[in-house]
Amino acid sequence: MALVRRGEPAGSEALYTRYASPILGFTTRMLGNRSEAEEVTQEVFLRMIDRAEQYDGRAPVASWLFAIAANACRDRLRVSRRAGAVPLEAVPEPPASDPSAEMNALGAERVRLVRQALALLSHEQREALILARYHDLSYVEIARALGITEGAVKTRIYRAMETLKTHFSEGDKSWNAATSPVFPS
Amino acid sequence: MECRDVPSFSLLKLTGEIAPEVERDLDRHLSTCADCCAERGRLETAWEALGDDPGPVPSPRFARETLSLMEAATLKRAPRTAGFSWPGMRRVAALVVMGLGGFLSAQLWAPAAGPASAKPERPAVEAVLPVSNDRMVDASRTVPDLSGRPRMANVTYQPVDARGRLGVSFDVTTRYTVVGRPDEKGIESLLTYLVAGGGANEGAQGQALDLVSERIAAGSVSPDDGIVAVLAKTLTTDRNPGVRKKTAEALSQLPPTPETRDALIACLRTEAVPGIRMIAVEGLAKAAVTLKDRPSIETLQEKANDERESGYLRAKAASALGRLAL
Repeated sequence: MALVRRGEPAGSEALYTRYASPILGFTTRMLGNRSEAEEVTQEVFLRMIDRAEQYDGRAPVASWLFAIAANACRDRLRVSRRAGAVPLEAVPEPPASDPSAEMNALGAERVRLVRQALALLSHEQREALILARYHDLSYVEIARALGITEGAVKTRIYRAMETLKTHFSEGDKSWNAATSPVFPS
Repeated sequence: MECRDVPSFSLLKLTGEIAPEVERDLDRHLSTCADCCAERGRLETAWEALGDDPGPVPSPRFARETLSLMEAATLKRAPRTAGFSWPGMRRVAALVVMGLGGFLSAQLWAPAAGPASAKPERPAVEAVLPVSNDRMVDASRTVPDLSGRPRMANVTYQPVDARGRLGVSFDVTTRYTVVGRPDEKGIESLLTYLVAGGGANEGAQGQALDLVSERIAAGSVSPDDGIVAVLAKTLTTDRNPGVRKKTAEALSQLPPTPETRDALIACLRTEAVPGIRMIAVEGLAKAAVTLKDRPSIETLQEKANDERESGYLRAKAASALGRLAL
Protein backbone atom coordinates (compact mmCIF):
# COMPACT_ATOMS: atom_id res chain seq x y z
CA MET A 1 0.00 0.00 0.00
CA ALA A 2 2.93 2.31 0.65
CA LEU A 3 3.95 1.96 -3.00
CA VAL A 4 0.39 2.71 -4.14
CA ARG A 5 0.38 5.86 -2.01
CA ARG A 6 3.63 6.93 -3.64
CA GLY A 7 2.08 6.46 -7.07
CA GLU A 8 4.23 3.45 -8.00
CA PRO A 9 2.33 1.09 -10.36
CA ALA A 10 4.41 -1.84 -9.04
CA GLY A 11 2.45 -1.58 -5.79
CA SER A 12 -0.97 -1.72 -7.39
CA GLU A 13 0.11 -4.56 -9.67
CA ALA A 14 1.28 -6.60 -6.69
CA LEU A 15 -2.07 -6.01 -4.96
CA TYR A 16 -3.92 -7.00 -8.12
CA THR A 17 -1.90 -10.23 -8.43
CA ARG A 18 -2.68 -11.14 -4.85
CA TYR A 19 -6.30 -10.10 -4.56
CA ALA A 20 -7.87 -10.16 -8.05
CA SER A 21 -9.11 -13.74 -7.74
CA PRO A 22 -10.65 -13.39 -4.25
CA ILE A 23 -12.31 -10.07 -5.06
CA LEU A 24 -13.64 -11.33 -8.40
CA GLY A 25 -14.89 -14.46 -6.58
CA PHE A 26 -16.67 -12.33 -4.00
CA THR A 27 -18.30 -10.01 -6.54
CA THR A 28 -19.30 -12.88 -8.84
CA ARG A 29 -21.02 -14.75 -6.03
CA MET A 30 -22.62 -11.58 -4.74
CA LEU A 31 -23.93 -10.41 -8.10
CA GLY A 32 -24.36 -13.74 -9.90
CA ASN A 33 -23.24 -12.20 -13.18
CA ARG A 34 -19.68 -12.41 -14.45
CA SER A 35 -19.56 -9.26 -16.55
CA GLU A 36 -21.09 -7.12 -13.80
CA ALA A 37 -18.73 -8.73 -11.31
CA GLU A 38 -15.74 -7.81 -13.49
CA GLU A 39 -16.90 -4.21 -13.71
CA VAL A 40 -17.35 -4.00 -9.96
CA THR A 41 -13.96 -5.66 -9.35
CA GLN A 42 -12.31 -3.02 -11.51
CA GLU A 43 -14.15 -0.36 -9.50
CA VAL A 44 -12.81 -1.91 -6.30
CA PHE A 45 -9.20 -1.71 -7.44
CA LEU A 46 -9.62 1.83 -8.72
CA ARG A 47 -11.26 2.88 -5.45
CA MET A 48 -8.36 1.24 -3.63
CA ILE A 49 -5.90 3.48 -5.49
CA ASP A 50 -8.10 6.53 -5.07
CA ARG A 51 -8.52 5.98 -1.34
CA ALA A 52 -5.04 4.67 -0.57
CA GLU A 53 -4.57 7.47 1.96
CA GLN A 54 -7.54 6.20 3.97
CA TYR A 55 -6.00 2.80 4.61
CA ASP A 56 -4.56 3.06 8.11
CA GLY A 57 -2.91 -0.37 8.30
CA ARG A 58 -4.89 -1.48 11.36
CA ALA A 59 -6.80 -4.16 9.44
CA PRO A 60 -5.33 -6.52 6.85
CA VAL A 61 -5.47 -5.19 3.28
CA ALA A 62 -7.80 -8.08 2.39
CA SER A 63 -10.43 -6.94 4.93
CA TRP A 64 -10.23 -3.40 3.63
CA LEU A 65 -10.61 -4.54 0.01
CA PHE A 66 -13.56 -6.78 0.92
CA ALA A 67 -15.16 -3.79 2.67
CA ILE A 68 -14.81 -1.76 -0.54
CA ALA A 69 -16.10 -4.72 -2.58
CA ALA A 70 -19.12 -5.24 -0.30
CA ASN A 71 -20.04 -1.55 -0.59
CA ALA A 72 -19.61 -1.62 -4.36
CA CYS A 73 -21.82 -4.71 -4.63
CA ARG A 74 -24.49 -3.12 -2.43
CA ASP A 75 -24.45 -0.03 -4.65
CA ARG A 76 -24.74 -2.20 -7.75
CA LEU A 77 -27.59 -4.30 -6.31
CA ARG A 78 -29.43 -1.12 -5.24
CA VAL A 79 -29.17 0.31 -8.74
CA SER A 80 -30.24 -3.02 -10.29
CA ARG A 81 -33.29 -3.20 -8.05
CA ARG A 82 -34.26 0.37 -8.88
CA ALA A 83 -33.84 -0.36 -12.57
CA GLY A 84 -36.05 -3.45 -12.26
CA ALA A 85 -33.25 -5.78 -13.24
CA VAL A 86 -33.76 -9.51 -13.70
CA PRO A 87 -33.58 -11.38 -10.38
CA LEU A 88 -30.15 -12.71 -9.55
CA GLU A 89 -30.96 -16.41 -9.79
CA ALA A 90 -32.42 -15.99 -13.28
CA VAL A 91 -29.25 -14.52 -14.73
CA PRO A 92 -27.31 -17.19 -16.59
CA GLU A 93 -23.61 -17.34 -15.98
CA PRO A 94 -21.65 -16.50 -19.11
CA PRO A 95 -19.21 -19.19 -20.15
CA ALA A 96 -15.89 -18.94 -18.40
CA SER A 97 -12.96 -17.84 -20.49
CA ASP A 98 -10.89 -20.77 -19.29
CA PRO A 99 -13.33 -23.65 -18.90
CA SER A 100 -10.71 -26.25 -18.13
CA ALA A 101 -9.49 -24.29 -15.19
CA GLU A 102 -12.87 -23.47 -13.78
CA MET A 103 -15.15 -26.42 -14.32
CA ASN A 104 -16.09 -29.34 -16.45
CA ALA A 105 -19.63 -29.88 -17.72
CA LEU A 106 -20.94 -31.56 -14.59
CA GLY A 107 -19.03 -29.12 -12.43
CA ALA A 108 -20.62 -26.25 -14.34
CA GLU A 109 -24.07 -27.47 -13.43
CA ARG A 110 -23.09 -27.76 -9.80
CA VAL A 111 -21.60 -24.27 -9.81
CA ARG A 112 -24.83 -22.97 -11.30
CA LEU A 113 -26.84 -24.66 -8.57
CA VAL A 114 -24.58 -23.33 -5.82
CA ARG A 115 -24.94 -19.81 -7.14
CA GLN A 116 -28.68 -20.30 -7.50
CA ALA A 117 -28.78 -21.39 -3.86
CA LEU A 118 -26.74 -18.35 -2.80
CA ALA A 119 -29.28 -16.20 -4.61
CA LEU A 120 -31.94 -17.46 -2.17
CA LEU A 121 -30.23 -15.53 0.60
CA SER A 122 -30.62 -11.87 1.42
CA HIS A 123 -27.57 -9.94 0.29
CA GLU A 124 -26.64 -9.30 3.94
CA GLN A 125 -26.62 -13.04 4.65
CA ARG A 126 -24.87 -13.76 1.37
CA GLU A 127 -21.96 -11.36 1.90
CA ALA A 128 -21.28 -12.66 5.42
CA LEU A 129 -21.48 -16.30 4.34
CA ILE A 130 -19.28 -15.80 1.27
CA LEU A 131 -16.55 -14.14 3.34
CA ALA A 132 -16.64 -16.97 5.88
CA ARG A 133 -16.96 -19.90 3.48
CA TYR A 134 -14.81 -18.87 0.54
CA HIS A 135 -12.36 -16.39 1.97
CA ASP A 136 -11.69 -17.83 5.44
CA LEU A 137 -12.27 -14.53 7.19
CA SER A 138 -12.88 -14.77 10.93
CA TYR A 139 -16.10 -13.35 12.36
CA VAL A 140 -14.11 -10.39 13.71
CA GLU A 141 -12.69 -9.65 10.27
CA ILE A 142 -16.09 -10.05 8.62
CA ALA A 143 -17.62 -7.71 11.19
CA ARG A 144 -14.93 -5.15 10.44
CA ALA A 145 -15.29 -5.50 6.68
CA LEU A 146 -19.08 -5.20 6.73
CA GLY A 147 -19.28 -2.60 9.48
CA ILE A 148 -21.48 -4.74 11.73
CA THR A 149 -21.11 -6.48 15.11
CA GLU A 150 -19.67 -9.93 15.53
CA GLY A 151 -23.05 -11.05 16.86
CA ALA A 152 -24.73 -9.88 13.67
CA VAL A 153 -22.18 -11.85 11.60
CA LYS A 154 -22.97 -14.98 13.59
CA THR A 155 -26.74 -14.51 13.15
CA ARG A 156 -26.49 -13.85 9.41
CA ILE A 157 -24.33 -16.87 8.74
CA TYR A 158 -26.53 -19.06 10.91
CA ARG A 159 -29.71 -17.99 9.08
CA ALA A 160 -28.03 -18.38 5.72
CA MET A 161 -26.95 -21.92 6.54
CA GLU A 162 -30.40 -22.83 7.81
CA THR A 163 -31.82 -21.87 4.42
CA LEU A 164 -29.10 -23.70 2.49
CA LYS A 165 -29.30 -26.79 4.68
CA THR A 166 -32.94 -27.23 3.71
CA HIS A 167 -32.23 -26.37 0.09
CA PHE A 168 -29.38 -28.82 -0.40
CA SER A 169 -30.52 -31.76 1.68
CA GLU A 170 -34.24 -31.86 0.94
CA GLY A 171 -35.82 -29.30 -1.28
CA ASP A 172 -33.69 -29.24 -4.41
CA LYS A 173 -34.12 -32.22 -6.71
CA SER A 174 -31.85 -30.79 -9.38
CA TRP A 175 -29.02 -30.51 -6.88
CA ASN A 176 -29.38 -34.20 -5.99
CA ALA A 177 -29.43 -35.11 -9.67
CA ALA A 178 -26.35 -33.04 -10.38
CA THR A 179 -24.42 -34.51 -7.49
CA SER A 180 -25.39 -38.17 -8.07
CA PRO A 181 -23.14 -40.27 -10.26
CA VAL A 182 -24.64 -41.18 -13.63
CA PHE A 183 -23.96 -44.65 -15.03
CA PRO A 184 -24.54 -45.51 -18.67
CA SER A 185 -27.40 -47.97 -19.13
CA MET B 1 -25.30 -29.26 25.96
CA GLU B 2 -28.94 -29.20 24.82
CA CYS B 3 -30.12 -30.42 21.41
CA ARG B 4 -31.25 -26.89 20.50
CA ASP B 5 -27.66 -25.63 20.85
CA VAL B 6 -26.25 -28.12 18.37
CA PRO B 7 -26.95 -26.27 15.06
CA SER B 8 -25.27 -23.03 16.12
CA PHE B 9 -22.29 -24.77 17.73
CA SER B 10 -21.93 -27.09 14.73
CA LEU B 11 -21.77 -24.05 12.53
CA LEU B 12 -19.15 -22.46 14.77
CA LYS B 13 -17.13 -25.64 14.40
CA LEU B 14 -17.39 -25.50 10.61
CA THR B 15 -16.27 -21.88 10.54
CA GLY B 16 -13.42 -22.51 12.99
CA GLU B 17 -14.86 -20.18 15.60
CA ILE B 18 -15.65 -22.73 18.32
CA ALA B 19 -13.84 -22.74 21.66
CA PRO B 20 -12.04 -26.05 22.46
CA GLU B 21 -14.13 -26.78 25.56
CA VAL B 22 -17.39 -26.16 23.68
CA GLU B 23 -16.18 -28.41 20.88
CA ARG B 24 -15.57 -31.21 23.37
CA ASP B 25 -19.12 -30.78 24.75
CA LEU B 26 -20.53 -30.81 21.23
CA ASP B 27 -18.68 -33.98 20.25
CA ARG B 28 -19.80 -35.69 23.45
CA HIS B 29 -23.41 -34.75 22.74
CA LEU B 30 -23.25 -35.86 19.12
CA SER B 31 -21.86 -39.26 20.11
CA THR B 32 -25.02 -39.96 22.07
CA CYS B 33 -27.77 -38.19 20.04
CA ALA B 34 -28.69 -39.62 16.61
CA ASP B 35 -31.08 -36.77 15.72
CA CYS B 36 -28.47 -34.11 16.35
CA CYS B 37 -25.93 -36.18 14.44
CA ALA B 38 -28.26 -36.23 11.41
CA GLU B 39 -28.89 -32.50 11.76
CA ARG B 40 -25.21 -31.82 11.84
CA GLY B 41 -24.76 -34.05 8.77
CA ARG B 42 -27.23 -31.90 6.80
CA LEU B 43 -25.39 -28.77 7.81
CA GLU B 44 -22.07 -30.26 6.74
CA THR B 45 -23.56 -31.35 3.42
CA ALA B 46 -24.68 -27.81 2.69
CA TRP B 47 -21.32 -26.39 3.77
CA GLU B 48 -19.43 -28.86 1.60
CA ALA B 49 -21.79 -28.27 -1.34
CA LEU B 50 -20.84 -24.59 -1.34
CA GLY B 51 -17.28 -25.73 -1.99
CA ASP B 52 -18.35 -27.06 -5.40
CA ASP B 53 -18.11 -23.49 -6.67
CA PRO B 54 -14.36 -22.98 -7.16
CA GLY B 55 -14.83 -19.34 -8.10
CA PRO B 56 -14.02 -17.56 -11.33
CA VAL B 57 -10.51 -17.27 -12.71
CA PRO B 58 -9.68 -13.75 -13.92
CA SER B 59 -9.21 -13.95 -17.68
CA PRO B 60 -6.08 -12.53 -19.37
CA ARG B 61 -8.29 -9.90 -21.03
CA PHE B 62 -9.71 -8.82 -17.68
CA ALA B 63 -6.22 -8.74 -16.16
CA ARG B 64 -4.89 -6.63 -19.02
CA GLU B 65 -7.76 -4.16 -18.87
CA THR B 66 -7.72 -3.86 -15.10
CA LEU B 67 -3.95 -3.47 -14.83
CA SER B 68 -4.02 -0.83 -17.51
CA LEU B 69 -6.76 1.12 -15.68
CA MET B 70 -4.88 0.73 -12.42
CA GLU B 71 -1.63 1.88 -13.91
CA ALA B 72 -3.27 5.00 -15.31
CA ALA B 73 -4.92 5.72 -11.94
CA THR B 74 -1.67 5.13 -10.07
CA LEU B 75 0.35 7.34 -12.37
CA LYS B 76 -2.16 10.13 -11.78
CA ARG B 77 -1.19 9.95 -8.12
CA ALA B 78 2.54 10.04 -8.83
CA PRO B 79 4.07 13.14 -7.26
CA ARG B 80 5.58 15.51 -9.82
CA THR B 81 8.88 16.00 -8.09
CA ALA B 82 11.34 15.85 -10.94
CA GLY B 83 10.42 19.20 -12.45
CA PHE B 84 10.76 21.06 -9.18
CA SER B 85 13.74 19.35 -7.55
CA TRP B 86 16.80 21.41 -6.79
CA PRO B 87 19.10 19.23 -8.90
CA GLY B 88 16.55 19.67 -11.69
CA MET B 89 16.53 23.42 -11.23
CA ARG B 90 20.31 23.56 -11.25
CA ARG B 91 20.32 21.58 -14.47
CA VAL B 92 17.77 23.95 -15.98
CA ALA B 93 19.77 27.00 -14.90
CA ALA B 94 23.02 25.61 -16.21
CA LEU B 95 21.55 24.72 -19.56
CA VAL B 96 19.65 27.99 -19.90
CA VAL B 97 22.78 30.05 -19.25
CA MET B 98 24.55 28.19 -21.99
CA GLY B 99 21.93 29.38 -24.38
CA LEU B 100 19.49 27.17 -26.22
CA GLY B 101 20.35 28.30 -29.67
CA GLY B 102 24.06 27.87 -29.19
CA PHE B 103 25.27 24.92 -27.18
CA LEU B 104 22.35 22.54 -27.52
CA SER B 105 21.89 23.13 -31.21
CA ALA B 106 25.54 22.54 -31.87
CA GLN B 107 25.85 19.46 -29.62
CA LEU B 108 22.59 17.66 -30.18
CA TRP B 109 21.47 18.60 -33.62
CA ALA B 110 24.67 18.68 -35.58
CA PRO B 111 24.10 17.17 -39.02
CA ALA B 112 24.50 13.40 -38.80
CA ALA B 113 27.60 11.96 -40.35
CA GLY B 114 27.36 8.85 -42.47
CA PRO B 115 24.79 7.41 -44.82
CA ALA B 116 22.12 6.60 -42.21
CA SER B 117 20.74 10.14 -42.13
CA ALA B 118 18.01 10.56 -44.72
CA LYS B 119 16.84 13.93 -43.52
CA PRO B 120 16.69 16.82 -45.93
CA GLU B 121 19.18 19.63 -45.65
CA ARG B 122 17.99 22.47 -43.51
CA PRO B 123 18.78 26.10 -44.05
CA ALA B 124 21.53 27.36 -41.79
CA VAL B 125 20.30 29.28 -38.77
CA GLU B 126 21.38 32.89 -39.08
CA ALA B 127 20.95 34.22 -35.57
CA VAL B 128 21.06 33.01 -32.02
CA LEU B 129 18.51 34.32 -29.56
CA PRO B 130 20.12 34.58 -26.13
CA VAL B 131 17.83 33.17 -23.44
CA SER B 132 19.54 33.42 -20.09
CA ASN B 133 18.42 33.93 -16.55
CA ASP B 134 20.83 36.64 -15.47
CA ARG B 135 21.99 39.78 -17.21
CA MET B 136 24.25 42.50 -15.98
CA VAL B 137 23.70 45.93 -17.48
CA ASP B 138 26.29 48.69 -17.17
CA ALA B 139 24.32 51.93 -16.61
CA SER B 140 27.25 54.04 -17.83
CA ARG B 141 26.79 52.56 -21.31
CA THR B 142 23.14 51.52 -21.51
CA VAL B 143 19.97 53.24 -20.41
CA PRO B 144 17.06 50.87 -19.69
CA ASP B 145 14.04 51.61 -21.88
CA LEU B 146 11.11 51.78 -19.48
CA SER B 147 8.63 53.22 -21.99
CA GLY B 148 6.72 49.93 -22.09
CA ARG B 149 6.13 50.27 -18.32
CA PRO B 150 7.38 46.75 -17.51
CA ARG B 151 6.17 45.20 -14.30
CA MET B 152 9.24 44.62 -12.15
CA ALA B 153 9.26 41.74 -9.71
CA ASN B 154 11.71 40.64 -7.01
CA VAL B 155 13.34 44.08 -6.84
CA THR B 156 16.46 44.10 -4.65
CA TYR B 157 19.29 46.62 -4.12
CA GLN B 158 23.01 46.02 -3.73
CA PRO B 159 24.83 48.50 -1.50
CA VAL B 160 27.25 51.00 -2.98
CA ASP B 161 30.60 49.40 -3.79
CA ALA B 162 34.13 50.78 -3.54
CA ARG B 163 33.71 52.49 -6.91
CA GLY B 164 30.53 54.23 -5.72
CA ARG B 165 28.20 52.08 -7.81
CA LEU B 166 24.93 50.63 -6.49
CA GLY B 167 22.94 47.81 -8.02
CA VAL B 168 19.23 47.50 -8.69
CA SER B 169 18.05 44.00 -9.61
CA PHE B 170 14.63 43.02 -10.84
CA ASP B 171 12.87 40.34 -12.86
CA VAL B 172 10.86 41.25 -15.90
CA THR B 173 9.03 38.22 -17.10
CA THR B 174 9.16 37.89 -20.83
CA ARG B 175 7.23 35.18 -22.53
CA TYR B 176 8.92 33.79 -25.60
CA THR B 177 7.09 31.88 -28.28
CA VAL B 178 9.32 30.08 -30.71
CA VAL B 179 7.43 29.27 -33.89
CA GLY B 180 8.69 26.84 -36.50
CA ARG B 181 8.26 23.49 -38.19
CA PRO B 182 9.04 20.47 -36.01
CA ASP B 183 12.14 19.69 -38.06
CA GLU B 184 13.57 23.17 -37.71
CA LYS B 185 16.58 23.46 -35.48
CA GLY B 186 15.07 25.93 -33.03
CA ILE B 187 12.02 23.73 -32.34
CA GLU B 188 14.06 20.52 -32.26
CA SER B 189 16.52 21.93 -29.77
CA LEU B 190 13.71 23.25 -27.59
CA LEU B 191 11.92 19.89 -27.57
CA THR B 192 15.14 18.05 -26.76
CA TYR B 193 15.83 20.44 -23.93
CA LEU B 194 12.32 19.95 -22.56
CA VAL B 195 12.51 16.15 -22.90
CA ALA B 196 15.69 16.34 -20.84
CA GLY B 197 13.66 17.95 -18.05
CA GLY B 198 14.35 21.61 -18.80
CA GLY B 199 10.75 22.74 -18.25
CA ALA B 200 9.76 23.58 -14.70
CA ASN B 201 6.00 23.27 -15.13
CA GLU B 202 4.07 20.05 -14.81
CA GLY B 203 3.38 18.35 -18.13
CA ALA B 204 6.06 20.20 -20.11
CA GLN B 205 8.27 17.11 -20.31
CA GLY B 206 5.40 14.74 -21.13
CA GLN B 207 4.05 16.97 -23.89
CA ALA B 208 7.51 17.37 -25.38
CA LEU B 209 7.83 13.56 -25.37
CA ASP B 210 4.45 13.31 -27.13
CA LEU B 211 5.61 15.72 -29.82
CA VAL B 212 8.89 13.86 -30.29
CA SER B 213 6.98 10.54 -30.43
CA GLU B 214 4.72 11.94 -33.15
CA ARG B 215 7.78 12.83 -35.19
CA ILE B 216 9.29 9.39 -34.60
CA ALA B 217 6.03 7.71 -35.67
CA ALA B 218 6.01 9.85 -38.81
CA GLY B 219 9.53 8.60 -39.56
CA SER B 220 11.02 12.07 -39.47
CA VAL B 221 13.49 11.44 -36.65
CA SER B 222 16.69 9.65 -37.46
CA PRO B 223 18.21 7.31 -34.89
CA ASP B 224 21.39 9.30 -35.33
CA ASP B 225 19.82 12.40 -33.91
CA GLY B 226 20.88 13.62 -30.49
CA ILE B 227 17.36 12.95 -29.24
CA VAL B 228 18.23 9.24 -28.84
CA ALA B 229 20.90 10.04 -26.27
CA VAL B 230 18.51 12.29 -24.39
CA LEU B 231 15.73 9.68 -24.46
CA ALA B 232 18.14 6.96 -23.29
CA LYS B 233 19.24 9.08 -20.35
CA THR B 234 15.68 10.09 -19.47
CA LEU B 235 14.53 6.46 -19.54
CA THR B 236 16.94 5.40 -16.85
CA THR B 237 17.20 8.53 -14.73
CA ASP B 238 13.87 10.37 -14.67
CA ARG B 239 12.05 9.97 -11.39
CA ASN B 240 8.56 10.17 -12.86
CA PRO B 241 7.26 6.77 -14.04
CA GLY B 242 4.84 8.46 -16.47
CA VAL B 243 7.77 10.20 -18.20
CA ARG B 244 9.80 6.96 -18.27
CA LYS B 245 6.83 5.14 -19.83
CA LYS B 246 6.49 7.71 -22.62
CA THR B 247 10.23 7.64 -23.14
CA ALA B 248 10.22 3.84 -23.47
CA GLU B 249 7.41 4.11 -26.01
CA ALA B 250 9.31 6.73 -28.00
CA LEU B 251 12.53 4.68 -28.02
CA SER B 252 10.64 1.52 -29.00
CA GLN B 253 9.21 3.30 -32.02
CA LEU B 254 12.60 4.39 -33.35
CA PRO B 255 14.31 2.24 -35.98
CA PRO B 256 16.48 -0.13 -33.89
CA THR B 257 20.12 0.81 -33.43
CA PRO B 258 22.71 -0.33 -30.88
CA GLU B 259 21.96 2.88 -28.93
CA THR B 260 18.20 2.33 -28.70
CA ARG B 261 18.84 -1.36 -27.92
CA ASP B 262 21.25 -0.53 -25.08
CA ALA B 263 18.76 1.93 -23.59
CA LEU B 264 15.99 -0.69 -23.64
CA ILE B 265 18.27 -3.34 -22.12
CA ALA B 266 19.27 -0.92 -19.36
CA CYS B 267 15.58 -0.21 -18.74
CA LEU B 268 14.77 -3.94 -18.52
CA ARG B 269 17.53 -4.42 -15.95
CA THR B 270 16.79 -1.43 -13.73
CA GLU B 271 13.15 -0.39 -14.21
CA ALA B 272 10.88 -1.12 -11.23
CA VAL B 273 7.54 -0.54 -12.96
CA PRO B 274 6.33 -3.70 -14.74
CA GLY B 275 4.29 -1.76 -17.33
CA ILE B 276 7.42 0.10 -18.48
CA ARG B 277 9.43 -3.14 -18.65
CA MET B 278 6.66 -4.56 -20.87
CA ILE B 279 7.09 -1.67 -23.32
CA ALA B 280 10.86 -2.10 -23.20
CA VAL B 281 10.66 -5.84 -23.93
CA GLU B 282 8.40 -5.14 -26.92
CA GLY B 283 10.95 -2.61 -28.21
CA LEU B 284 13.82 -5.02 -27.61
CA ALA B 285 11.93 -7.82 -29.37
CA LYS B 286 11.63 -5.53 -32.40
CA ALA B 287 15.33 -4.63 -32.16
CA ALA B 288 16.37 -8.28 -31.91
CA VAL B 289 14.48 -9.18 -35.07
CA THR B 290 16.20 -6.34 -36.96
CA LEU B 291 19.67 -6.43 -35.43
CA LYS B 292 19.90 -10.19 -34.70
CA ASP B 293 22.65 -9.35 -32.23
CA ARG B 294 23.94 -11.12 -29.16
CA PRO B 295 23.03 -8.50 -26.45
CA SER B 296 19.37 -8.38 -27.56
CA ILE B 297 19.07 -12.17 -27.81
CA GLU B 298 20.79 -12.80 -24.47
CA THR B 299 18.62 -10.26 -22.69
CA LEU B 300 15.46 -11.75 -24.20
CA GLN B 301 16.59 -15.23 -23.12
CA GLU B 302 17.27 -13.92 -19.65
CA LYS B 303 13.80 -12.34 -19.47
CA ALA B 304 12.01 -15.36 -20.94
CA ASN B 305 13.48 -17.50 -18.15
CA ASP B 306 13.09 -14.99 -15.33
CA GLU B 307 10.43 -16.38 -13.00
CA ARG B 308 10.11 -13.07 -11.20
CA GLU B 309 8.75 -11.47 -14.36
CA SER B 310 5.09 -11.51 -15.40
CA GLY B 311 3.80 -14.16 -17.76
CA TYR B 312 3.10 -11.53 -20.41
CA LEU B 313 6.65 -10.18 -20.41
CA ARG B 314 8.18 -13.66 -20.48
CA ALA B 315 5.85 -14.71 -23.30
CA LYS B 316 6.76 -11.60 -25.30
CA ALA B 317 10.48 -12.35 -24.90
CA ALA B 318 9.97 -16.02 -25.80
CA SER B 319 7.88 -15.13 -28.84
CA ALA B 320 10.60 -12.80 -30.16
CA LEU B 321 13.16 -15.56 -29.70
CA GLY B 322 10.83 -17.92 -31.56
CA ARG B 323 10.62 -15.49 -34.49
CA LEU B 324 14.42 -15.29 -34.58
CA ALA B 325 14.70 -19.05 -34.75
CA LEU B 326 12.52 -19.22 -37.88
